[in-house]
Amino acid sequence: MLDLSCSTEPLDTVPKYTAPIEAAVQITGDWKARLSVVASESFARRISCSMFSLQHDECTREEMLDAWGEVINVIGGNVKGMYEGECSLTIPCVGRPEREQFEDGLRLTYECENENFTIWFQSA
Amino acid sequence: MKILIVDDSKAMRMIVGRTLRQAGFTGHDVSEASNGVEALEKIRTESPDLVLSDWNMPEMNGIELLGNVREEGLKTRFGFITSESSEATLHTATEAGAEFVITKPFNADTMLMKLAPIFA
Repeated sequence: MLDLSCSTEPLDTVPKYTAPIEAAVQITGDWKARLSVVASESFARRISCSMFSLQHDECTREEMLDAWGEVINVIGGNVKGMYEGECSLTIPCVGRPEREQFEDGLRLTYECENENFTIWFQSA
Repeated sequence: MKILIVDDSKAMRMIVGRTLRQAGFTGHDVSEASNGVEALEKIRTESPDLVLSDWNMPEMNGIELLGNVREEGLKTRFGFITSESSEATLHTATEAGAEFVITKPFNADTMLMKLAPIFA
């Protein structure tokens, strides 16, 4: 969809992101979970510009938040689709992570275009 | 053909429009709506030939939109472009009157495959 080169195997470590941006969704219903994607703001902006077909740094902060939210919407929908039962996906929430470090749950970090992003999964 | 793209994400509306062009569906009159309420009004006033709608949106989601469209007796051709990928979603969409479901992420080939019968 975006023609970006990303690793398919997760990295061994979770980096500390500069000016991190997190987009999160909740899965509610028969199964409850929280899913988020975290990266540095510069990477989120690159992805956003790509989604908007703009040059790097041309998209506004509002557009970046919109696009980053759509990224977790796509991930969340696909994860939700793997589970049976009646579940719903919330509208994405985007902002600075509330916690500095990833605590419980499953953390998967991938490389994409020489930067990293982490998908964080917590099941209730 | 008049096409209405419905998604609360401006980025995704751009991607859908771009992918439509990449799939060869060019020269059509494409408009946008950011939620189901706005889309329903455009369907009533602009009579698009085809609606490409997201599922999960604030104010009125995609399945509610389709339900309202059918309730008003409108025969607008309707399909979903959504991250909701479960069999239950596909079943619900089909039962409600959607002609296809395109799952995000998607590419031009997927869009061509799903929409070719519509444009034929």
